[in-house]
Amino acid sequence: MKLILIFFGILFSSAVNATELVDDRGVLVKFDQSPKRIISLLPSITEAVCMLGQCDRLVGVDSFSNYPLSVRAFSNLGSGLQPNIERILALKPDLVLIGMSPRAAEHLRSLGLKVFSLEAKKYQDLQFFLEKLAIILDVPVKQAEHLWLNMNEEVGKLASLLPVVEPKIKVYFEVSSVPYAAGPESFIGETLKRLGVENIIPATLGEFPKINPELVVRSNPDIVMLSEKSPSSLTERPGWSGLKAVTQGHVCNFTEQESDVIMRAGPRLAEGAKAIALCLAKYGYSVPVDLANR
Amino acid sequence: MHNHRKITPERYPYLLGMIVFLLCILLFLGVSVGSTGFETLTSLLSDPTSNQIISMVRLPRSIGALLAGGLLGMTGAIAQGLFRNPLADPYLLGSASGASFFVALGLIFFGGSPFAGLFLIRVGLTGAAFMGAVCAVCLTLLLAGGVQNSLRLLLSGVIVAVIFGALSSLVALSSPEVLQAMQAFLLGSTSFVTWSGCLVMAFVLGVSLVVSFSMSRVLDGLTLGETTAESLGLQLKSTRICLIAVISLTTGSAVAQVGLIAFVGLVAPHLIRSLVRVNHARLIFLSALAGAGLLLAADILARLVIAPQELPVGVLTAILGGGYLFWLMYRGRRKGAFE
Amino acid sequence: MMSAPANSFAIQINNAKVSYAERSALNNISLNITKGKWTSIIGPNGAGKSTLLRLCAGLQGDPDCVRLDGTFLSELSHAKRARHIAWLGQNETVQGEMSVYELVMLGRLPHLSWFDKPSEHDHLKVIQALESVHAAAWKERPIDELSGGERQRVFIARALAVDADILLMDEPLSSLDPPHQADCSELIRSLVARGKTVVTVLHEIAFALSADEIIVMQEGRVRFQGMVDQHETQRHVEQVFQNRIEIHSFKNRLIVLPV
Repeated sequence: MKLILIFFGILFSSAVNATELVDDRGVLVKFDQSPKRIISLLPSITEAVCMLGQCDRLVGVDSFSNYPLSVRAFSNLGSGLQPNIERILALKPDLVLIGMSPRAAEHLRSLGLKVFSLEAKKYQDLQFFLEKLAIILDVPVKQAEHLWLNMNEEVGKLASLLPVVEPKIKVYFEVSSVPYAAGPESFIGETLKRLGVENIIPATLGEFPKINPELVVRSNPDIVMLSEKSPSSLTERPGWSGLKAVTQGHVCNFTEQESDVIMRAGPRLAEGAKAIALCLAKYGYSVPVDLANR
Repeated sequence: MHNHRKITPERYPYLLGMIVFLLCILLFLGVSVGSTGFETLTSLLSDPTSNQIISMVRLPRSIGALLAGGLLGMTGAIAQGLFRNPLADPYLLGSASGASFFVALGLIFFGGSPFAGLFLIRVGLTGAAFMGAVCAVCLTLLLAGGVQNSLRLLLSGVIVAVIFGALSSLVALSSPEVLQAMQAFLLGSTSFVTWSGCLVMAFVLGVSLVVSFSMSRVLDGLTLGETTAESLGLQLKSTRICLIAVISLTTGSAVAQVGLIAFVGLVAPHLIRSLVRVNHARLIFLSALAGAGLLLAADILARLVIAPQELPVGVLTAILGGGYLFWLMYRGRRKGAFE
Repeated sequence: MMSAPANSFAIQINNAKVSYAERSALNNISLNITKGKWTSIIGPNGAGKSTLLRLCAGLQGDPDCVRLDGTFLSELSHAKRARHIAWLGQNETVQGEMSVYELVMLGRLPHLSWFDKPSEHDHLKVIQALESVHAAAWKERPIDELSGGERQRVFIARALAVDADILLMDEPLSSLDPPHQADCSELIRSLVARGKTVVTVLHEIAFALSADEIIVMQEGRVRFQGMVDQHETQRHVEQVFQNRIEIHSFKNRLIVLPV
């Protein structure tokens, strides 16, 4: 349903002069001209805007946006959930781009700001994500398409570089130490699928389920992947010291930079996929694979 | 407490004047403090953006803090009088947990399809919180089988609070984003208060004050015990129903605007009682003022302490309120009496 | 005051039953309290004396079994009933630190409607009540600074301030020392002399015998009701206490001696 909405949104907008676009929360936003002072409250949006070459239109970004390096100079607007309203107003933006955070968007809109919500949760969403941004930024949609195709291609290339094995390598990806895991429906899960591995989390559990650590012990994955936020004392977890991934040391603890690109459903998804692929190449096969030379 | 140190009832107008004066100072501070600094206030007339920041951000949230604090303080006094329990707070009938649960549900639906979101935009998370508070209190009344028995009401309130709390956690844990948003809500913040929110709170505050003033005599009579109060012709049942309705409305509207803020409702009446000996009518009014000042002071500190970042105001009310209660206890122990 | 025929009975009870859980506290009580007299209810522990008093006050039991001056309690509004009957419970307590004056002023609540401020008349009644228990000197003192006996006198004053025709008091002499017990007895006498009806539950048999009428209760039933100066009454009192006491006349007064 959402896809149809977005599709028509884009179709409609390209047919009229003043651009009108429906954001991801169903609100119709009108652009008389392309915005010049943009605030981004989501790291993936910041990255996308810059990748579409419009970095200089950004006047402020949220505290979590850290790429490209130039945005760090003005990344002081709080989080998407709790944005620093005063600073945002003081910057006099003509557009605020925000993720799906419920209250903040409404509040900013009630203060008279133009707010556009968008966030990509899956690979397919990314295409529309980039295309919408292109329309808003008055950048040829082709550019966005190009970006998207490139990303896809890179991920495909990575997948082809990895040897195909049967049975598939079993992977457990932990997003945070609660533990929240990445299910197959999440974008991390999609990346794993594309790279030809099996996710020990069943699809029925949802995108980022809070799992029972027993599930990991039972499934005994070949590789355990941890985002930077998880602590590295895995052997302390009950039953985990027996996991073959732990005893063989097949644990990838991603650095902060790597976690950033893996976790963000944004234009650097391919970099994230590469980090995962490198991990797979190191531990997934009987002999480590050298991706660079294939 | 040794009464010769307290303000005597004749000097009540002076006390009132001082409190109002303090509130005005706090309001001024509230408008001066923010992440864009004091210059925003000085350039109020010259710079339209400063004007916007002051009038659309700092002023509504400061006034909102006063109103929400007033609602909580007043409700604390009512709850303590109605249940004759100095540890009663405005959330004792489960309203806080009900609000959290409905907010958690709202967050789930918000994150989903845009169409569900559209409906909820009208109602908003504020509406959800309000409905949740009222629902929880109704459930408490149902469980207690009416307002006859104070103890049963209190126990039912605890049960409802625990159940809704567990349900909120269940919902919140379903997704890490909802969990984050819930935590933000639970710790409280005045940054989402709008002028319309202030209007709603002011209206509820006004109506509640009038209703509770008219019932304050019953609360005075209740200090003699339920039987004696009844013998004096006081209608306990209808008073309880009215005041419980007031409690649910006031906490519902306060929680809807600023989230869950602890200690303000508990501490405000104690603060007033330690300063002056008053009947319930005045206690309710003064507690409202004290609560207003407490919350605004905590909000100002929340904006100041790690400026330009903000601490959640609930953390500061806990520190201030908890600290004050600890000091009261310490003072009481030294004097050989416990209050 | 109420219905047409002037009644010589202040309170009439007909077939009243009160039970707690499975135990019945009052069994089929029917009695009449004479107007303008001091009636004392006596009996051993657990006889149901306090319950009976609460029944009279309309605080417990079926209000259809009790009539005040001929009108059923169920037909009286709360406010009317409160103005007609003043109640003093056993072991009264008060929360908070209000002053003596403020506490006694609470006795005027049945006469004050919602937003009224107390009138001159209310203040007068409060002062009078305080003076009759000799507590006027401490009217500004906070209640929590008083001793048990002083507090009890203030509670009595609170009940007096209601200025009701009927005064029901459960153990009013508790915590009072002998001079003040005697004062209280005199106070009740003077109230009765002014036409008020007083019903007391008293542990102190000697003081109970200063009343006009005695109601003897045992195990939730009325054993006997009669004038205090009749021999039959005195015998019944001795019997209900298992003949462990003897009632004698001495210097024109009745005294109680343990056996």
